[in-house]
Amino acid sequence: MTEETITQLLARWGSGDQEAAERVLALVYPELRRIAARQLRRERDAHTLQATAIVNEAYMRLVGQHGLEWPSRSHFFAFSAHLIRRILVDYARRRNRAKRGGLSEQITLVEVADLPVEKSPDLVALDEALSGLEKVDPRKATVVELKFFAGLTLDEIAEQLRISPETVSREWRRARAWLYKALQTRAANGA
Amino acid sequence: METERWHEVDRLFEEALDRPPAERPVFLDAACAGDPALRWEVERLLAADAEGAGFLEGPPDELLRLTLDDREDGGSLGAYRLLRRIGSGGMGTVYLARREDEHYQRDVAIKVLRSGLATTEAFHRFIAERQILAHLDHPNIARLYDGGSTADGRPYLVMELVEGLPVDEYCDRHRLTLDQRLDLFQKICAAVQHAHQNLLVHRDLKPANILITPEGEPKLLDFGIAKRLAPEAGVTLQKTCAGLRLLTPRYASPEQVRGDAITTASDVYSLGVILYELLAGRSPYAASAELPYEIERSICEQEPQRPSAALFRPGTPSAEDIALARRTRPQALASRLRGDLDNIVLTALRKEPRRRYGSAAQLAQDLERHLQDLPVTARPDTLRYRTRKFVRRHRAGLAATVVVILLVAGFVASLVAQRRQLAQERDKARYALTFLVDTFKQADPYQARGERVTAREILDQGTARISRELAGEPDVQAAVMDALGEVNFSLGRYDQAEPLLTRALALRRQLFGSDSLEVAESLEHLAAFQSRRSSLERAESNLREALAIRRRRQGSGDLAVARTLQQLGDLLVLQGATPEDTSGIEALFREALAIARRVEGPEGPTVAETLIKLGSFRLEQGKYTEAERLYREGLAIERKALGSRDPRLYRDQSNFGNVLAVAGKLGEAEALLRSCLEEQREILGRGHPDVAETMQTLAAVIHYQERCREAEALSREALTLVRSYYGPRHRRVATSLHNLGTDLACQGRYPEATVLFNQSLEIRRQNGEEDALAGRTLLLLAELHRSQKNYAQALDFGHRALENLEKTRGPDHSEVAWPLYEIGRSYLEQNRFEEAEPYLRRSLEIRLRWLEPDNIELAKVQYLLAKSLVRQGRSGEAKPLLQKARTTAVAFYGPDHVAVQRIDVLLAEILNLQSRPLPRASRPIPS
Repeated sequence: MTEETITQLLARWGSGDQEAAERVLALVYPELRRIAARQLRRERDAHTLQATAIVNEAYMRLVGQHGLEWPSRSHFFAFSAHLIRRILVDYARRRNRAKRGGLSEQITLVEVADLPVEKSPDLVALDEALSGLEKVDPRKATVVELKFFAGLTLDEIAEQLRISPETVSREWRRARAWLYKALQTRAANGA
Repeated sequence: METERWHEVDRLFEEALDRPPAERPVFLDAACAGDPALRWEVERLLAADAEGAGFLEGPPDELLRLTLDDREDGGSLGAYRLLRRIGSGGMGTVYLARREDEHYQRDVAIKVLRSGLATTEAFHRFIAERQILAHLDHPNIARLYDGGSTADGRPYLVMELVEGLPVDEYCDRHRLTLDQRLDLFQKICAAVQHAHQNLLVHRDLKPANILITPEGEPKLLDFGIAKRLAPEAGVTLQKTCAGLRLLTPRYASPEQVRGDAITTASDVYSLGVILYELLAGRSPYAASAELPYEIERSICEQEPQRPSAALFRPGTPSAEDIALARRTRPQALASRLRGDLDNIVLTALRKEPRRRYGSAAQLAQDLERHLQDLPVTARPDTLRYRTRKFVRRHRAGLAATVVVILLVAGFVASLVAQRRQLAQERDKARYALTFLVDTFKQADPYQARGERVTAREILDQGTARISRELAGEPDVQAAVMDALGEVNFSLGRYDQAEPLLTRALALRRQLFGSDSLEVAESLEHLAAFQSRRSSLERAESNLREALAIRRRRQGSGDLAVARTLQQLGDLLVLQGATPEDTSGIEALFREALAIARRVEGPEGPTVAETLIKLGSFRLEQGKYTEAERLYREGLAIERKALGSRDPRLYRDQSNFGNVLAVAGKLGEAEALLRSCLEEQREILGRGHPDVAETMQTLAAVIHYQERCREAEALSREALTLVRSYYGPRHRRVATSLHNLGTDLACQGRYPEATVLFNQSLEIRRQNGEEDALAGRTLLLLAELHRSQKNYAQALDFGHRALENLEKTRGPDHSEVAWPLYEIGRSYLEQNRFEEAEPYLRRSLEIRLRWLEPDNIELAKVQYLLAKSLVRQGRSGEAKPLLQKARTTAVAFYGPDHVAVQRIDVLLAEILNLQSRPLPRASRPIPS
């Protein structure tokens, strides 16, 4: 696939062609995954980990170096956020599978302080709930992607979506409650 | 359609959010009039908004995890091209790599540190390794060529590529004889010695790290967790941070397993294990299970079998095959091992680092002496050493034994005082002590059967000897029986304890008459036993008899009377005295306090103890403020009376942490428990059961703060401690399993939690200890099943919990309110409102009697009861309940809390129903 066709696909996506978006994802996925992994590795502290940095670097690389044309910068951000979501959810799925793997290991690695203890949702479940939200209210879903997956601030999201920060904040609050409820229901049903 | 509906809900949700919480019910009344389902949706969103405030605020965990798992694939590092991955160890991944330039080509191994660990201790170890390895120059240690950082900042090492087999595999594949194995092993020792001389401990010696090249040369690999010995600190290393312990349990030394200081002696131990396996083809410990904690337990406690004997342990490979791999026959191999080699190996494997060989070189030298038929330095363990070991292994039991000896001495002393037959009584004292000491001596393996002996055997021998040898001295016989009964009791050997305690009592009645202090003492011991066995009524009558005797004989001027009063008070609390009995119990503690003050003055240890017991009683009554005050007073006195390093002080402090936690002061409780834990670890050592106890309380406090993963880690550590101290079937292990289960349940890991709860119940069932704690476990199982909507099982467990607590605590005890609440809630969730009502009602009645009127637990049950009434169309009855619940909840949580909102929703519904009756909605009940 040449870069020209990517640009074409992007143009089609920009005019609302979802199939084109899927194909772009498939093309850019590996690149973004590499960037993400490297960015993350550079960040040594989980708490300062910023997905925004990944998106920015990806933007620089894909737009700057490859000369790709995007319908708009906000398109690109939405796209990247979606992509990061894909990457992380795929990863969570793989991990969940791996958890059912072997039982005993020769080496006991006692890592008490391995990961931050704050509650993090089950990403696979969140992804499904978010897909449900997407169907009825795509704008809320985009806000969640940009906020949670791409790590943008509410002001940045407002800038990207060209709506007021106040509106973003209200959308975010309701989207979050909705997702929280959806995950709770799912957990209660033993899914 | 669906989308339209969704937006309607969303719009109302938005508008409701714009209003203060108190106004929302009114708003919803108007906005959702006639559409209860719509209102229901909005309410749930409002509840989700309140509960999920921190939801999705941090970055996804996966973002970090992704990098931990990410692996380099292909590519190059510096001048090296990565060819393929060879393996990955604790801290990183090892690649086969090749250096190619104009001058030469060389294959190397490159170890790249796993990315996500870059900031942790592992990173510093890795850096240390680079520096240390660079200084090591020994033909049997893999060379370090180079090091650097990858483009993304991860450090890596370029090392000599060693092709070879792990030493055990190499020896077996080449069928090396015992002598050849010893030669090879001596070379390994020399390499380890070289590292030690460079102040380097390997810390992870195992066959996989000792490769033998095709030329037959050993190469030590992977100083992965090596740490430099600080020259100024002698040979003692800094303690390993408990946060990140890397070890291979099978070859780890006891001090490593315990997390104690690691020295060169730890490597000697690992070498001992390797030698053991090379010689005998078996592991030192016949651990049947492969669970790490069981292996660890064996390492710390079990004496390894002699290699010559281990050879014939059943298992694969067979003794035949093992001998064959050494080009000999099993009998010949065993006789070759017996003696020197057994002793050498066991010397390397001693539990205490100081009793092992001083260095790897000394181990090698002793092997050399053996090969040259010179006398070796290794000796079988001495008798004294064995005894000391026994004491250490069974500290709990032996503490009791020491008590026994003191009791016997005390018994004799009182005889002396009473009868003034000095010479004769002194003989009796000597006789009783000699008897006990003899019992221990006979239990020594070298005097007995050459086998390991357990506390059980000692006690059984003692019991057998009592009737045989003490028949002519009935008073001594009774004292020793009583004492052995106590020891058996403290070790959880109830079947053995009971007849001893009973017979001692009968004997003493005969000898001294029913009004004697000896009889009082026996009655107290028997009562303690009975209260543990849930025979509370018998315990009470025995204690009352003992108290009567003591009052008559000792008046009110003796601390012994105070102790009996305390014991009786504790028992009555345990029995679940109703609030009406409170004044009686109170009087007991008050009298004990008065006696203690009279005898000791205002600041004696018994005064402190009684205040603290009174505080526990207040806690049981739900009077937290007073409980806290009494504890503070008691602790202040105790600190003065006992000094700041007395273990009892910290035990009570730890209990005080529990008081604070129950009273809701979680932050203060956590701080107190953390400092208490630190002190206890320092004063008592890391493995002491008090340490485990504090850990469990701390875990509970952390659990209450919903940091369940953190609580889980602590609970697991405590479980390991308790298990290794008391053995796997002790009731404390059952408690620990229960606690760990709650930590998992709170993370939603229900299946795992269920397994632990069942294990806990099973232990209690086998021990015949189906006490109130078992009732709590049953209750939790009920909750677990309910939260997963397995209502049939939830109700079954709920009823079992109810039955248990009614029996163990009495039908009106405050704890009985719990299963009643649980069962009621379970019915309620199934919309079985009429069935829910009586359980909730009874739960409320009990709580009203026990709890202060503003206790939040009252509000909870009032709310549920109200709900069951509303759903039955009896809103009139529900309303006052809800109003009370609301007042309490507002005071406890504040007006905006989701609990208050829920009450408001129901209240609003009542007002609605009362003014304009609606058909009863059949919809799920919000939890």
